[in-house]
Amino acid sequence: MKKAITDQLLLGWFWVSGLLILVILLAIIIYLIWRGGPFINSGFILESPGGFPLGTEGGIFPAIKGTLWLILLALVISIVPGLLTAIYLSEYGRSGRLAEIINLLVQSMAGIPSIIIGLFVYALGVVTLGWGISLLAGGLALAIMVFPVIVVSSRDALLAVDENYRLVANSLGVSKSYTLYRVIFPRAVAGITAGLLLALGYAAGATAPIMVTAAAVIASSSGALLEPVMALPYHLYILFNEHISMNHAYATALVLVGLLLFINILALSLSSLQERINRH
Amino acid sequence: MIYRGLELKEKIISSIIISVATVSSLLLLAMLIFILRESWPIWSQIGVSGFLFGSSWRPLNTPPEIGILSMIVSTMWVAGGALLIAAPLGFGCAIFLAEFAPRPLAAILRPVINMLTGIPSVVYGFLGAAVLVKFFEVKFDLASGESLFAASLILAIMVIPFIVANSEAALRLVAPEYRHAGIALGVSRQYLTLRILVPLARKGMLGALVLAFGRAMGETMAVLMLAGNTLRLPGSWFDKGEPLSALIALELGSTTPAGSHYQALFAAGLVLVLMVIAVNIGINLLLNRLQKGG
Amino acid sequence: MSTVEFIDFHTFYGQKAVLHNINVEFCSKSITAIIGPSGCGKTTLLRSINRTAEMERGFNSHGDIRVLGGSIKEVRNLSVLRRQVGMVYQTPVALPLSIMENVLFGPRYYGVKNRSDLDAIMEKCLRQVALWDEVKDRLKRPAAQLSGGQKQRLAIARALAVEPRVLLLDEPCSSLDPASTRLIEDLLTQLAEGLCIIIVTHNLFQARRISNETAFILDGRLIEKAPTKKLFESPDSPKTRGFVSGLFG
Repeated sequence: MKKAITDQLLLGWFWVSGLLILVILLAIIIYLIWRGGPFINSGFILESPGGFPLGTEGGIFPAIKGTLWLILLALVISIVPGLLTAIYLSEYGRSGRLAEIINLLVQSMAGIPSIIIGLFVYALGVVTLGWGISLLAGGLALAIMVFPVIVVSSRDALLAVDENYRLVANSLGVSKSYTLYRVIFPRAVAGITAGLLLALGYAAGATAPIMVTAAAVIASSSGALLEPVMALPYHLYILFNEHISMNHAYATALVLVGLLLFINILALSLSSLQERINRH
Repeated sequence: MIYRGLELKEKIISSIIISVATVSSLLLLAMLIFILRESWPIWSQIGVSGFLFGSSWRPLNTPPEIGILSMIVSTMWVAGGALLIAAPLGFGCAIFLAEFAPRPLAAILRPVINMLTGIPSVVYGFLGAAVLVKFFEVKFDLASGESLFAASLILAIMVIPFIVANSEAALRLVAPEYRHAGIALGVSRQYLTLRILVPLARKGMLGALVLAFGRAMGETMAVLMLAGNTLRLPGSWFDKGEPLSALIALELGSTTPAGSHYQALFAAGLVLVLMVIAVNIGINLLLNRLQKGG
Repeated sequence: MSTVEFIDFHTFYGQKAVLHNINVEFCSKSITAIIGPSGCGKTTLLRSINRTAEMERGFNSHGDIRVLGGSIKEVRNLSVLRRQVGMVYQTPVALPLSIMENVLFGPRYYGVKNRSDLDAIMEKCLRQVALWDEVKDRLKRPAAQLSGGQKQRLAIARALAVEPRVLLLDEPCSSLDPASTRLIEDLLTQLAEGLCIIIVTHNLFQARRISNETAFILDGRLIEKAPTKKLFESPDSPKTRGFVSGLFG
């Protein structure tokens, strides 16, 4: 009898925790749509902030532009080192000593808090190299932040490619780079792209590192490397923290979350496509 | 002749790949060394224990008072508290997904958990501050509802997806024979799960928890918007405080390079990184012991 | 004339010895079958020839193997060796490319650019493996669509496309149905007119059917190598007799 009650309680615990997570996500999205939805219109997306204090009226166009500039720059900086490191780990180094060390370093890098990356880039870029608070510094900080994400996801996508292809190519005497270019990479490209998208989403939502390296309360976000930029997450923080406009804060949060969920879903469908390719 | 060319080409390509991979991974060490360098005067002037255990933070006074005990305690409260809330829910959800969830529900839940990780920290912080803190203020009639507890609560939601994903993977790795054996014995599935599967998966589940702890310690925006940001030593979970990450984010912009305030923030950053690294190394040692124990 | 020659050849994985003091020659224009129980070192012996065995962790070797007179240890460039020595694996592997590009995978790397040269190589190799008539209308379709037996013949064609002098086959028919197996056996018999073929097989009937000579390996040692008929009917070693007698009941 007592046993049966314990069993029921346990089952209750498992169900409640599972469903709670579903409820939380739904609650977040529904609440954001409810509070922010009414304020989203073409003006909000396409105009600059206006009113006094700045942000009570107008829109968030420069923040959207700034965020796009930041993640684009982060990707441009990190994609080549990220992919080459992944290629080293999956094709060249394999289980060698150096690969082990690099794997460990990359893994540790993934655990470094993003504010610490901000701190580092502040000292290196903003102060020592004299870039000031700038798009370039922010892009570098975000690039360092997403580097391990790109390495790990691309490495895993490459490693998932059928080992027999490497065996066959090797026995023909062709080089690793030729095999990679003709067979392995095309085979893993969906998974790699999914990883890059995840990295982009991660960068777009990051606030702490750009708060100390790149973000300004108001800027035109023209794309000039040594100018500060506006960014969606930082703009949200300012709207709320400086008590400028709750309505615009909700709307900004909705735009940001919408953008990120879109990227996330795209990445998710690409990685399930990759899984189907691998099983084939 | 042709072989020589092909060989040369491959040699060039492989050395480029090796050098890029090595240099970019060494960036981690470069970061640590750079932060250590920037913070050096603090360590040599104030000393390690003075800095860690001093509870007064007035870096602009003359002479500056630079101690980060309050922030360290705040960080531990916030992250530890978040884990306290997240662990039962995260493990429960992982067990639910691995063992009990009906297939269609699991198929919805997994992407949902994935999406929760995609929502940025600033949005969690914003919602926490705008909804949760407001709620505390009204409900308990407080002047301001921010507290370490509020930060923990939101952080818990942020780290649950990591706990779920990693623990579920650990549970799924348990060999199916154990399940069959348990079912053959006629025990309930709950009993089987708790007494057999969870102990077998404990290494992975504990690892998930520690990973979450590391994330919670380093998390900045949500904490900064919810913890209340006072520099006093917090006496309980329901006090206000300012964790290390929030301290750095809030004050870095107002420092003058090479001033003691600036250096102190780098020292605080170094402490934060070392705490995160220590937790990760500690768990590895612990897990190795567990493994040897059987 | 011997095309592949093992001289006092030993191999190890870590401390564990796999092959002991192998001294053997393989002649061109003939098929040699290598037989022996599982784990006796047959595959290691085969993979030592094109130096793919050394990709395993902890692999080590003493002694030498000469391919076309040159030591494999002194080879300046592995591509040279691997081009001379083709290899076909147990699992039929179609690279995720078109049928045509599977055959041309090697030649393109080795610098054949001219369209008509490439077409000629492709047609010749596909004809050699009796696949041309089956696939000539769908050369640009993915090779993954082929059947297991077709994929294995494609694998042979891909190996032939870089004009090897030696062809190594590691149990090439073990995952195929009897009809495909028959087809490949016939094909090997024809290819042996211009190649040194070494085939590892579990199937003693197959060894008997196609090989000119057979080598028996037990616990990493070469017990006996003789013309196939002799090895199966009147072997010198009682060990060989014991192993092949499974064949006769």
